[in-house]
Amino acid sequence: MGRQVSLLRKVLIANRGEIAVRILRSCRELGIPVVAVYSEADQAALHAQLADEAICIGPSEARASYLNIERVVRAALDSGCDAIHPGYGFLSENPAFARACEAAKLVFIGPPSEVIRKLGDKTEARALMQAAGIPVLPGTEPFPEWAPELVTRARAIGYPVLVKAAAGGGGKGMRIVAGEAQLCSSVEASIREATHAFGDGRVFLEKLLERPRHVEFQVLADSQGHAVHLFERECSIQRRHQKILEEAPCLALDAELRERMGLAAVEAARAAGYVNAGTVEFLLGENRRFYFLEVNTRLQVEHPITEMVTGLDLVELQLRIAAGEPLPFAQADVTMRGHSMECRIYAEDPFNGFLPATGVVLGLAEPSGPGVRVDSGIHEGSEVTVHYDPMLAKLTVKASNREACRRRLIAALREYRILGVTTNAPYMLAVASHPEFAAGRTHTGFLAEHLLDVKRSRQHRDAAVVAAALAFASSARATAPGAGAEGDRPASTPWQELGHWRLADASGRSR
Amino acid sequence: MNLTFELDGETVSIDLEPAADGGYRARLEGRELAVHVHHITPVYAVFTAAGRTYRAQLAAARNAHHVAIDGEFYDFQVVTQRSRERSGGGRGAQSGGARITSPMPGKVIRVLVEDGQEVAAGQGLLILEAMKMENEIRTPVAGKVKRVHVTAAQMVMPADLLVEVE
Repeated sequence: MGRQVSLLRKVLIANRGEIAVRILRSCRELGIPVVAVYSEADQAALHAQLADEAICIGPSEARASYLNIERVVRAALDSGCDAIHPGYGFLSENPAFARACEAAKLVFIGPPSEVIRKLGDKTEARALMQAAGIPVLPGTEPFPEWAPELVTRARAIGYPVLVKAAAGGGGKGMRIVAGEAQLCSSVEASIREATHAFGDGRVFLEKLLERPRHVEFQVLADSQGHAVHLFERECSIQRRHQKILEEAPCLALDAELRERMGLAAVEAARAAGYVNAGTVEFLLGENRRFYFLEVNTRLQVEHPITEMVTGLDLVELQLRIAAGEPLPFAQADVTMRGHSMECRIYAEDPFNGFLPATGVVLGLAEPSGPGVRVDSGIHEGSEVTVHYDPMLAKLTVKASNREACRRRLIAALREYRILGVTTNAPYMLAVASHPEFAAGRTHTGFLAEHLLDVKRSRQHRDAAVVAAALAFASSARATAPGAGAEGDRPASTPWQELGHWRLADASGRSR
Repeated sequence: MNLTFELDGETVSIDLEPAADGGYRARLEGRELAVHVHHITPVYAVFTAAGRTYRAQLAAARNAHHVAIDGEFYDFQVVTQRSRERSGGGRGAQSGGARITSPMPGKVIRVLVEDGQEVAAGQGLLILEAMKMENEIRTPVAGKVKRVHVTAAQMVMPADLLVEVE
């Protein structure tokens, strides 16, 4: 690879944060100019700074800017772009956006709008997969409201059952029902939540597997009809159905199961008429049975672990496929080496109910070293607001085997310093350090089972207090006036009490 | 130098004194630690404490000091005489005016009010710069400015009296 993508002239990235930066990097390496869009809150954001051109598309609220189809399409046309990369989130899985791009003769870097639409409808997707012979979990069709019939249907499926929103995602509107007593109230609560979140209250029942693993396969399909998979990612470490740590490969797969699931994923892509990069999600039971969950019709947050173990650049492949190029390799050419893990760094307080945190990034030091990759959308001075997703960055590591990879992740998390905005980094450290995680006994209820109540680690408390005192004293000195300008300040100040402050620059003791 | 911080809802005091060997001696909850500073900037410190060398990322904002060491994050609030009085004395004194003091060491960038001016609760009194951050210092009470004790470009220390409101 490395050849020019000849068919794309200029790409608009309809996103922000780390993913906009990540897409921008691949475009740049391929020599494609990049246009960023930003909201008024993001004028100084990293993605807008790095792009060749940056266009303001409206106020801070995502609905008026990043989710505004008309403004995004207008920005692409005005800046002479011929393609739009939607990233993930925002408009990436909105069929109306893909349609608007198609109508404006802009290449949408993703699947056709009709494919997004049918795979976005969970019921239609399920029926499609069932028809293609791919195993799906026993369940019902969607119900717009509570119906007594659901009682018998739930019995036939067998408790526990899951109530899910037909239009859902990210766990919204989802509820676990352990027995018949809570069925009606749970269904009604889910309908309310789904109506509120998606404007579509329909819910359905599905069998709930005990301790399943979330295993997804990355697929790629070109417009000539070739489709391959790039192996699996295990994303069982989820907090309230939100993935926070992913790894590849999945310990639970052997070569035989991997091949079967990979074939099913490719078949799913074919059945849907898929083009570009997508992810087929499965639940894997303890008995090695797997069931289709859904297809994510976009570049996944966790795509870097696939890049780490396959050596491929997924964004580059997306651009080439969108430009009409055929896949540059066949299934047999794709290999997986080593082990990779990614963890998501969120602005949230793990010791205070995971409440979203806001603020200004006052200090930032990202980890580095062999096999360490940081995809970040922030810099010192970045303001983290309530307007957008709280994910600030992703830390991805790779090593030759899982245990080396896990240790590398722990070391990298220890080096990760984000100050001014509270993050989940200490929690991620607790997850990666947990003996059950080390043993690879993961399932989607892992965090709820093992890491509900994590205590703040305070091993270096004395040193931290010393550091704070040093910081206080040195900042006092740094802002002190020259001799003789003492004015009417109190007789005793920290730097006077401390005597001659031996700063590195003054004493030459540094380095 | 004696300092009191609030950390994780508890107060912690540290006494830091110069030592004969060019370093410092820290007294902290009855423990004594020898401290040597190898390098310090507003955002980074390399120091040895009790025989172990640490690299700490630092950040300061208002009267807070943030410290990151080896995957652990600490948020310290500087406890000043003033804030001690506030937390000890409750809010009963609010109707009787306020003595607004500096929460941190810094430089007065701009004074926004003058003697005799009426102010509303929450109104900005002056802009204080610390660690390159501009911070608006506000009055917690409504009233009349009795006296502004500082002028633009003046350096102030924690607990220095800035403005009296009556």
